[in-house]
This record gives sequence, structure tokens and C-alpha cells, in this order.
Amino acid sequence: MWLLKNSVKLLMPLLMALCWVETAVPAEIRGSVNFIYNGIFTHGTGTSNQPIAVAVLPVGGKKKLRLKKQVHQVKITDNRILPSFLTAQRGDQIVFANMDPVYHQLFSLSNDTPFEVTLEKTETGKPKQASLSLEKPGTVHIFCRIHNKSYARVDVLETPYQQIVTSGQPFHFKSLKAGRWMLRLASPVAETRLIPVNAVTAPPPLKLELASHSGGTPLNNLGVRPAIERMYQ
Amino acid sequence: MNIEQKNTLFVVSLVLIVLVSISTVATLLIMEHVRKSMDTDLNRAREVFVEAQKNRFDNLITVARGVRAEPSLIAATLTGDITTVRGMLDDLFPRPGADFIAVYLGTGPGGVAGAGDRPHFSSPQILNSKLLLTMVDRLINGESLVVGNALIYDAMLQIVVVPIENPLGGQVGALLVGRQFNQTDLTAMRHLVQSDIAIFNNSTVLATSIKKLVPDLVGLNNQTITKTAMEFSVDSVQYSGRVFPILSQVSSSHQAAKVLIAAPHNLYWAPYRLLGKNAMYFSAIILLVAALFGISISRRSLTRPLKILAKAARAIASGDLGQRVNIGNRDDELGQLTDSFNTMLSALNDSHAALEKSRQRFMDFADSSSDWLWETDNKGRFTYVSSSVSSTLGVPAKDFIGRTPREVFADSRLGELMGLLRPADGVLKTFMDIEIWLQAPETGRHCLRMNGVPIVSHDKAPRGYRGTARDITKVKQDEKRMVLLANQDHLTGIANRRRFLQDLGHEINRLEVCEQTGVLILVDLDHLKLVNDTAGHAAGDQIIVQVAGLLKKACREEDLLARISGDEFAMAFPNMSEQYGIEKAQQLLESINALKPRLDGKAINISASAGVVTMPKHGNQPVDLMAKADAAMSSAKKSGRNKVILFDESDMSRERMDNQLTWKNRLIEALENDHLVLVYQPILAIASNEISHYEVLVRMRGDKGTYLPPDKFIPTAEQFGLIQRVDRVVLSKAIKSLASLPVEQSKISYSINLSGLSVGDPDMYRYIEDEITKNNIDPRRITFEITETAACEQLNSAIEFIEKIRRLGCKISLDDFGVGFSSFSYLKHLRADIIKIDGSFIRDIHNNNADQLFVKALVDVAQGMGMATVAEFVENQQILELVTSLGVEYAQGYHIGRPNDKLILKRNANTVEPKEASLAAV
Repeated sequence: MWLLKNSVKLLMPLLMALCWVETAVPAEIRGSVNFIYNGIFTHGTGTSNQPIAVAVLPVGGKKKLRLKKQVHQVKITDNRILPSFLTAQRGDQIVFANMDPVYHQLFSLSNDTPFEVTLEKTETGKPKQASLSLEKPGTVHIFCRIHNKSYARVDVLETPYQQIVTSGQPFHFKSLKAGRWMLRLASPVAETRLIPVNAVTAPPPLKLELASHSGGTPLNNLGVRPAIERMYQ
Repeated sequence: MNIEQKNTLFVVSLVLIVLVSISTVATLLIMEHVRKSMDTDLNRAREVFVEAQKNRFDNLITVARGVRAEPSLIAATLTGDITTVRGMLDDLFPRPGADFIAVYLGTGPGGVAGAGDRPHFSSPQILNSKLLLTMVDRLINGESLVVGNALIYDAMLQIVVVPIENPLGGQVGALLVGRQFNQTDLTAMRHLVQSDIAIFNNSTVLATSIKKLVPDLVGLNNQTITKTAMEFSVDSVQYSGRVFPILSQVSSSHQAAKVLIAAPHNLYWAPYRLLGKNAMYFSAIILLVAALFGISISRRSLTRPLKILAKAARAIASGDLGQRVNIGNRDDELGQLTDSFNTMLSALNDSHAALEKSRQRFMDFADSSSDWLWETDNKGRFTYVSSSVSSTLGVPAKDFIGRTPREVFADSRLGELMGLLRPADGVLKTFMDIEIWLQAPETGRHCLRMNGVPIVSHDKAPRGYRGTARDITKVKQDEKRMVLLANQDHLTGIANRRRFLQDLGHEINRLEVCEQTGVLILVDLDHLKLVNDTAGHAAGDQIIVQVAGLLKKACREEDLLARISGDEFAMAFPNMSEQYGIEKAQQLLESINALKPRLDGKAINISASAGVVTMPKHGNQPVDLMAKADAAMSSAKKSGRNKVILFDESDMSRERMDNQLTWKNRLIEALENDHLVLVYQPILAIASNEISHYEVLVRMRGDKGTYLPPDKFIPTAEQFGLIQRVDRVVLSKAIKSLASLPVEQSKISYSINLSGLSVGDPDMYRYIEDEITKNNIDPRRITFEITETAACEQLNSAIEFIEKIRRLGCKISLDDFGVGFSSFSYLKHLRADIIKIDGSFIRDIHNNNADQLFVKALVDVAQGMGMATVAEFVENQQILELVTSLGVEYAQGYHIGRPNDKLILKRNANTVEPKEASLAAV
């Protein structure tokens, strides 16, 4: 009995994969991603609440997925770009709305999508807007020349299967063609991870980990100047 | 060196000492100040240096944070791909403010990428060196920022390590930014800290502002890092410096390097050297000013006044006493000195004037004095002789100088004097009243009475003598003459009664010894009083002189002849028989009879009576023999005069002797029964025409109320030694009389006669003193009259007695002056207050020009010697007027008033009756 039960468990995914490939029945990929800190800092490296972009990409790029252009609204408020991390499909458009009464000068040094746009300051409550078309896949880092803390990362992907989750939060892609897919896990604080996965019907949730090298908080608040002085005693 | 120079030197020295002291103190203070300044500056420089390092680190941190904020860095780092990061760094570097940038994504190989301006900065050895990894590890382990220093080869780097933050949260790597501390930085720092700086490690100098700072920093390396400065020298420049470490990291003992902060002494001493140089110039000016000031002050306040004083002193020393110093109105010590100098000068002038006056007085005395002054050296040579010597000895004073007395008076025997002036034993002794006879070349023989006192120097060495000399030749002659006069009758030149009695005593003794016989003849001129009364005393005197000459011729050489009273002569003929004596007497009377002197052209007959005694047959006592001869002579007169009577013991002698003894007894009885009474004869003060002085005369109360005159009993008193008792009675009565006078007559004074025997008697003097004291009488109211003869007969004792009486307060009057020795020189010795001119010069003065001349001369002399004169026997107004015209001050005589037992207060007017006696005019 025990053997029977275990055999079923082991073979069930295999059978399901065979069925997706063969039959092309809607399949799905689900699971959750947890950050695993892999940085050099040793203190204050708890669970990050940074967003994790989970996307399903076709394997080898052979399969062209039909993309439906979307417009992403990105606000700049309090000198911060929100959301600071988002995924988009190639061809999407990002509309930047300056909600602050100050100028912002956004730019990107990405080789694929270089741009620079100046957002007039908002004086009447109506946000000044600018748009950016994402024509090439890749990662676009957006900065403000005026405000160092203004940063946003836009991952332009060739897939419509995109979800933003947080660490431990489940993701679920449905209506996938059964078969092999490439699961892409990306986060601003972690190296992007591509995991080949099979979309099957009612698959068990994946337990995935994403190595984050971002984290840590300083322990002390020792003043710099006293510290310097102590070096010259 | 004069005072001015000394004072200037003193002032300059004082100022120099002050300056040196100030300089020393200032130097010490400056040295301390410099040391403290250097310490302070070094500490401040170190603080500035540290502060600068803070700023550099601040800048570096800013750079690091800037780099960290670089989007490319963030983007590259977020990729987590070290290769991407290295590529990014290649694009990012060089970066202003950073010489070295490294990004650590991991601490192992391959986890780091770096870029720097030196190739080895980005080498794996450096990037993975323990030094840098330690700092990165500290960041990794929780520090928000790490700073440190690193010595990478020869480059001193300041390192800042900051985390590379994910804009979306967290830290994604470590950014290390380094900045090299190079020579340029140090030079800039040099200006900031204003001290020399050197960064070195062991023997390597990484950067320095001190040129030629040798690598061999043994001294510095071995220098214990302390907070005190140490000194060292580089290229002959002295430094004070401090060394402190540059630690690699906070809380690490590892030293990345050392810092030397040094201050060159020159920098600190330069202003002080300049100050010292200026101070030296200033000091020189001060010294110059002080010298000039000292000279000015000295010259103004000291030297000039002193020069004036010195000039005045020299002028004074040269005899110019008319100087007066004026240095202005000053109240300081010199002003006081000048005042004192002028005061002293005034006193000196006064003293000099007094000295000159005294010298002139001395010279006048010396020149005018009959005495002359002399002085000799220790060889007996005259060094000074007063000029009066020339008038005395006829030798000019200059001829004495440098010569001894023996040389001056070569013909004199001056052995005694020379022995005194040059004693053999060399000991000079005072000599008094030595008498020297010498033979003067011009004026003959002189007798000098010399006094001398030794002159000794301060060291008691004998220097000679000085003293006085008096020519007493005249005195000697006077003495000789006085002796002669004392024994001679002044009218006739033959012996007087005193001498006769003296010689007679000797002759009697000789006759007794030789058993020989002699004859005494007493001759009395008959009726001579008649001649005097009719022809005048001069005529009587002329007769006496002629008789004396006659008798003289009749004497042998061995015979004695004397005038024993007015008209009596005594003659003693030794070796003569009685019979021959009678014959001799008879011859004498006949010779007198034959004399027949002529008066007014008419010859007058004179006769004499003679008494003869034989000696020693009739006695061996001169007085007895004289009394017997007198008895015989009286017998001759009684028997008709012009006779010679030989003394007959059986009759006349007894009568005569009894007569004398009777008077003696009567006198004694009078003394014992107080029968001697006083009468007072007034003496007129001619100028005031007042009578306040009286001569006290004595009378003996006789039988039946009669009063006997003194010539009746005084000779007996003198003969029998009772005269002194009479003197005492008279004295006592007179003083009591004087004391009894009323107060309003307290100015009345008496003249009291003293006999010759009382003069010089010490007992008499004490009696006088006692009576005056006992009766409390002012001694000035008593004048003692002493006869000139009595005084001169015993001159020395009389002088002494007179002096004592004068000291007692009484006055002395020389009575009967002019009939005695008649020498004015006695006035000098006797020191009388009054001279009573003998009546023989007054009685007939209005008829006798010679008497007038004598009285005039006597008055002049007496007035010249401060003596008053009294004229006796003023018996009429004519005489009074004459003596008044001659200058006589007092007059006495019947014209003024007769002797009376009452005091006649006015001429021939009122009388006052003394209590002790009441006697009618006598």
C-alpha cells in the first residue's frame, strides 16, 4: 500500500507533463518564492519585503506569445518613483506622472532603452506626465538626475505571464500550455533566476528560493568625526 | 674721573642694569612665551591637522556617497555581477576626490573590483589585503561607515568604506574610496596648520614640508609619542615638534604612519629677534639719553653748583673772602650746602674780621706794649719778635729772625737763657720771670724779665719757645732808687729816720763789740716854723737843704747823718769821745749860725739846738738813745736855744722820758677807755659841688673836755707799737658810724687812714673784712688812705694788700702823694683808685707855678690811669678855683669844711651828727 501510494506520487507529475505536452490542455504553474539572503552583510539581513517579479517565459524563445500592449502608470511622488519595480511587456508604454511640486528629470542608462525626460513640476494638482515606450526587452533602470533616491526598475519581458509577489506570497499562472516553461524570478535585490518548469494541470505549488544580496542594517551610529579623531590620538 | 663722569657712569650703569634686568626677564618670559606658544601652536596645529583630516574624510565620505549614488554604480552593483561592476568602475574612474575606488560584492576572490590612479591599487593583492578587508569586514559587520588609513607601498591613503545601498532597500555591496595624502596635500595643509608637517613611517618620509628632512629619522622614530614637544635640528634649523600616530582604524593599535608637526624656532624668534634688535637700538638710545640726562642732571644739579662752590672755595683759599655763592633758588641738599657755605663764609668773614681785628689788636699790643713778644725754634733761633723790641733794645725786629739771642747780643752773657732755650736734656720747660742782663749794641745794658712756654707739636715734639720779654732796666733802677729812697730823705738826700735808726743799731752793736765809744747828736733848727709861715715852706726847705749840706760836710765817711723830722737832724759819730762830741756839736751850731741863707735877697739868721748822748754809755737801743738825745735837745731849746746840751741822766732825761711814757700811758688809757673819737672832714666833689665823702680823722679826748690832735699821740703810738691798735679802733668806729647813717645817706662814704705798719698786715686785712661783714656795709663806701711813703717802703706787700682790699670792694687812696718817692711809675704798681695830692703842693699853689705844673702833670697822669685826684689843704676859694681849673676832681680843706664830729653835708652849712660821737669842730 505504501508502495502504491508513493508510486502514484512520484509518477503523477510525470504523467501530467506527458499529458500537457501531448494533449496541450490548459496547465498552470504555481508556487511561492522566498528570499534567501546571499549578500556580504551579516547583520540585519531579515526577510525582505521587496517585490519579486515572477514571470513565465517560453523556453528557448521559440514560442512567440501574443502580447497585448498596456500602459503602466508610474507616479513620482515625494521624490520617489512608485512603483519602483515593475514588469512590462515589450511594447508597453509607461506614463510617468509627476505628483510633486518639483521638477524631476528621469533618465535611463540602459543600452536598450535609453531615455531622458523632464517632468514639469505640478502646481495646479494636475500631474505632469510623460510617457516612455518599452520597445526592447531587458532591464531598464530609471533614475532621477535631481533626486538620488528616485529609482525604478522596469523589467521588459516578452511574455504576458507576469506577476509581482512578495517573499512567500504565492504566484499562480493559469491557462498555460502544458509543457516546459522558463520561470523567471527577478527582484531588485536579487540576481534574476531562471528556472525551467513544466506547466501541468493542477501542479503542486513550487517552493522556490531567490538569493538576495541586498540587506543588512548598520549596528551602530558611531559618529564619523569622533571616529576619525580617534585615529589621530 | 670727575663727579659728572661718575654720575653719568652711574646713571648709565643703572639704566644698563635695568635694561639688562628687563632684557633678562623679558628673555626668560619670551622664552617661556615662545615655548608655550610653540606648544600651543603645535597643539593647535595638531588640532587643525586632525580637523583637516576630518574635513578630508568628510570630503572623502562625500565623494564616497556620491560615487555610491551613481546610478551606474547602483545599477552595476544590483546586477551582482563583479565583472559588470569592474566594467562600470573603469568607466567611473577617475573620479574627482578619489584616488582609489573599489566595490566589494564579496570578500573573497572575485568579489571585488577596483580602479585607481595607480595600477597596483586595483591589484588583487591590494584589494584583498588584510588591511582593506578588515575595513570592509567592519562595514559588513554592521558599521554604517568605516574610515581608516592605509599605507600602500609609498602612498598614504585615507580610506572610507560605505555600503552600496539598494534604492529599493538594503545594502548590496561595499564601496571603498581612497584618497592619497600626497605632497600637494601636505603643502596645502602646511598653510592651514601653519606648521611644518611630515608624514613618515619608519625610515620613509611620505610627505614633508621640511626640506632636507633626512630619511634617517632615528630621533623621530625613537621619539616616544608624547604630548610634549621635542627639539631637533634639520639643516641647521632648529625645530620643536610633536609626533603622533596615524592609526589604521579606529580602535586599532596599528599605525599606518606617523605625523610630525614641527615649528621652526626661527619663525617664533624672528619677531623677538627684530624686537631685540629694535630694543637694542632703543636701549642704545635710552643709554645715550640717560647719559645725556645724567650729564645734564649732574651738571645742572651737582657739578655746576659744586664747581661754583669749588671755585668759591679756591677763591676763599686764596684769601678772597668777598665771595658769595649763588646757585639759584634750590631747596635740596646742595641748596642747603650753599646756604651753609654762605653762612660759613659769613661766619668766616666775621671770624676773619675778628681774627684780623684780633691780629691787629695783637700787633697793636705787641707794637705798643713796653713788653715785646718773641718766639724761637728748637735751636733757640728767633722766629718772631714784635716790633716794639726795636724801641726797647734799638735792634730792628728783623735782625732777630733766624738768630739766637747770643748771636744778636754777642757781647752779653746769655748762657742761662741759651740753656733754657736749648736744654741739654732736650726737655723744654716753662720758665717765668727770669731776669737776663744783656748788652745791646746801640742802647747799652738792659735787664730783661722773660717768660717762656714751650711750643710742642701735635706729636708732643718740642718746637721751641714763645713768650714775652720786658725791659725792666728802669724797674731795676727804680728798685735801686727805691731802696735808696726808702732810706733817704727826699728833700736833702741824706738818710731818713728809718735808715738812721737801722744804721745806728748796727753801729751801737759794733761799738759794743769793739768796746768803743760814739756820740749821737740831735740838731733841731730853731724857729723854722716861723720861716715857713713867713717865707713859705720853700724857704724853709731851702734852709733845711743848706743845713743838711753843711752837716754832711762835717761828717766823716763813717759817720751817720739823717733828717729825722722836719727840722731835726741826727748825727752819729763812732769812735768819738763824749767831750769831742760836745765840741763837735758846738762846731756844728756855729756853722749853722754862720750859714745865713738868703731869702728874697735878705740874709736871715738861723740857729739850732743840739742834744748829745754818748753811746753805748747812755743806752744801746737806738730809740732810747734818740729819746735821750731828744730830751737833751729839748732841754737846750728850753734853756734858750742855740745851745748844746749833753744828756744828763739825772734830770732832763727823766723828764723827757717820762713825757714819752706819759703819752704812751695816755694812749693806752685812751684805747682802753674809748677816748679816741672820730671827726669827719668833708671832701667836695668839685664837678657836682656835693659832699658825700669824708676823711675820718682821730682825736684823743683830753682832760677838761679838750681834744688832742693826732700829732700828739700818733708818733708815740708808732714808737711804742700801738699804731695798729689805733688803726683798728678808728676802723671799727668809722664802720659803725657809717652803718649808723640813715638810709637817705647811704651814698655817704668814708676815707680811713691806715698806718704803714697796718698796710700789708694779714691780720689787719681779716679785721677789715670781718668789720665790713659784721656791719653789713657796702665795701664801696670805704676808702683806705695809705701814704705813698708807707706803700713804697714795703712795695710788694703793699701791692698785695691793695689788691686784696680792692677785691674786697673797697677803694684805695694814696695819701700825701708827691712828697714821698714822687715817681709816677709807682702808680702803675700800686693800682690806687684815688690820689690825694699832698698839701705841700696845694697850700701855696696859687703862688707857685711849679706846684701848678706838678699838680697838672699829676692830674693828667692820674686821669690817664683812671684814678681820681683829691687836693688837700684847699683853704680858700682861690685855691679851689685853681685846682678846679687843673682838673682836680675833689677838694678837701678848711675852705670846704673843717674836721667835725658831725658830717658837714654842705660847704660850711648843715651838719649831721653821727650816733657814735658828738664832737665840736677841731
